[in-house]
Amino acid sequence: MTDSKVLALSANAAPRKRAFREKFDSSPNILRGGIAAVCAFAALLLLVAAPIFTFGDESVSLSVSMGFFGLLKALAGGGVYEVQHSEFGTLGVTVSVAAIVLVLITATVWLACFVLSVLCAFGKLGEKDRIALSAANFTAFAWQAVVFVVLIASKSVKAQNIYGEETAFYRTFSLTATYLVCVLLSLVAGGCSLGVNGRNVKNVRRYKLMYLFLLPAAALVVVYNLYPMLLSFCLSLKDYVIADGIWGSVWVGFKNFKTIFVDPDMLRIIGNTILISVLRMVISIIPPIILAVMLFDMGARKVRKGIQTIIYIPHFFSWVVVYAIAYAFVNPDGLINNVVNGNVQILANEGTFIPLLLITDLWKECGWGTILYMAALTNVDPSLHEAAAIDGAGPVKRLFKITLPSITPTIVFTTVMAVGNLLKGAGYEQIMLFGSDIMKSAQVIDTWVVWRGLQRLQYGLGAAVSFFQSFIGMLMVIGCNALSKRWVGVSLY
Amino acid sequence: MIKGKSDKAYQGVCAAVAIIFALICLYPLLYTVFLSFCTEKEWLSSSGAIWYFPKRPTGAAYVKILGSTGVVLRALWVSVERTVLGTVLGLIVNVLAAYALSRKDLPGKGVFVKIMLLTILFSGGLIPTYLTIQSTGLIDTVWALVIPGLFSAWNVLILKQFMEGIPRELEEAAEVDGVSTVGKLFYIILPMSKAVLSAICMFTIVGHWNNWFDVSIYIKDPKLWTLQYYVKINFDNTAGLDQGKLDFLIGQGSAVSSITMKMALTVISVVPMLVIYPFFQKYFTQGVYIGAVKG
Repeated sequence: MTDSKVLALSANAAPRKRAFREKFDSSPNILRGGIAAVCAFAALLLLVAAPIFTFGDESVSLSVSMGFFGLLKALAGGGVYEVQHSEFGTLGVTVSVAAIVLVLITATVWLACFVLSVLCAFGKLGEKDRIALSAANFTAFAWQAVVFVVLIASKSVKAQNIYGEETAFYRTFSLTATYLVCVLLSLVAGGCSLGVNGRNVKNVRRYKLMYLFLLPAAALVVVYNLYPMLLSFCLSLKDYVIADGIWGSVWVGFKNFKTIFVDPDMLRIIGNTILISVLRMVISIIPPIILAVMLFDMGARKVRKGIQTIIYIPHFFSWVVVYAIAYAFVNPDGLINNVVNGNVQILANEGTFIPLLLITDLWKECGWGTILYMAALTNVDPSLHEAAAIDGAGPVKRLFKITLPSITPTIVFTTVMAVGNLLKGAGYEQIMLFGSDIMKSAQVIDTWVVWRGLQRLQYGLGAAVSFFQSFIGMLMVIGCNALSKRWVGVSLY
Repeated sequence: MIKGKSDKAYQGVCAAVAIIFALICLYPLLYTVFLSFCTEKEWLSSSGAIWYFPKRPTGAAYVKILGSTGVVLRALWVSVERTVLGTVLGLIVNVLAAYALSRKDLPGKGVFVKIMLLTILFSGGLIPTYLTIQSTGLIDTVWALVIPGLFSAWNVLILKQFMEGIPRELEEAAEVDGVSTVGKLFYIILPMSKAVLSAICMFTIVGHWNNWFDVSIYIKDPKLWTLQYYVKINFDNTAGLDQGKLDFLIGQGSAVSSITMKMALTVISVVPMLVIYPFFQKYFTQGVYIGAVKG
């Protein structure tokens, strides 16, 4: 193609493109309904044409994929679907009617979404119906998520393995990626039908470069944050076997979670985690408050600055270094043993383990912990103190009437957030350095995940423990944050 | 301000407590330094009761650690490498994201911010993260220590909030003068966020330098051990050390006792933090306050 031809073509294309754009801007319905319709159509196509279920048996490494029509045939045949298999000849695969009905309902929901989207694209929908469109898509999402969980985790959906024995559905069937893609499609469709409007379309075009800026962060979030979350959920419902990989391992329902709550060791570990967390919480709140108040009340600004510089330093050391310093003092030939003139075993000793954790934690973090309170204290108007002094209030009275009330919001906030962090607050880095996996008091949730879960390849159980910890932790933090917001108006986000 | 006797007494008590605490913070550091200069003779003759600077200090431990083997220097290099890569790339990723999210009318902003909050509140946990890093092929490379931590939801939220506080009129004026989107970032946004950027920079550097845990999980190759992990290995007497780790152990057959060698190694591993500390000190109070209270 010559240059002039290209020029002519592009000259011709430009006005057409502009006209197209204007039409889009004036009626975002085409875009909104169009995207939703495409999503719904793709989901329907996937449901009809691609395999939805994989039927498998580990003992004979047999696996059969089944699509929508297979399911319909099975429904007609009373739940039995005939498969031709190269090794085993004709096999009857039994699918529970409940599973088929669930998938049929999914298809119906998608069909409804598709019809609504097409109506929307042709401008036949009013403002309220458009909200109904996004609601329909989000319903599709919620419905599919529920079906997914019910099918892979519930014991009450039954199935038969190839020997004709009845087992839970999830042992012989696994929902294929088709279904997961459908879940994602419903999210996209729902988001678009809600978010696409004239203003947004214009802004997307205006902020093209901004989306490019956002791209690296978004990619990292998806790969290193969201994908592990999905894995965490799936792994915790599976019995992970290395040879089978993550997706090849069998679903086992809530077995891993059940283990957590039945196993006495696990319960002891959770108890130990909370114990150490509570002790650390006390250590990390009360001493810094006292220290901050004393620092503030000592006057002598220059000396105070110097002291602040010194007491912040330990925070910037790693736990390895803190361990090294502690080792210098408490090793068998060290200073402490010489002073008490004995041979006290302090390191790797059950009896001294928790006190050692707390003392080193206090040394490392107490100074740094004052920083928030100091910030709150320096915001108090100095004339308040002066006025109180003139009125004859002594230092103790001023402490309780002015100083402490001024840092109360900060105290409440830090306390409440520490409570929200109880399941994660044991400080695994420190524990792993000061203790070892043979010590009982060193067993907390996080160290268990490393020592037993990761190093002994109990990935399924380990993921379930992490999921439990993270999920309960999330609920606790959200709750505590709401409390803090309500009580003192300070919140995390 | 009028000061009575009780005021003076109270101030005196406060000052005394604060100074004693500062000494408690300082002394263990000095003690570590004392030990690192101690000769074996002095160590043995006092049977470990050295609590002051040695009478005949020797720098033999430092000479041996830095001079005779390349192991520590290599670990030092890996530490520097991961810290520089992690901080520079992390700042780029997070600043760009925060700049985009600080546009008030950016479509999709709300969804992204909600996802960021989710990553703060809920994490996949160690094992799924390990499997993800494994399947992206980062195990046993320095990138396993850098890439997974590049994006930090906290840092983006803090930066975003700060950028939203910059007066809109400044940007509009620049737009009138024909400054591009990238130009606005460099000439207006970044110079005005200097304090927050410095605080974030400091915490990223410290976080990378001090992190030994991810090395212990993702790195099996001794050539990629960081200095902190190397220090950890040298204090680890419970782990069964295989042949690969043996040449990483120090303190055998040297003129000073093994504790002196270990302490010298520890001192070397904290010197970089102490060197950068004064440069960032004036910023981090601000950074912490913004981060912890407003978020």
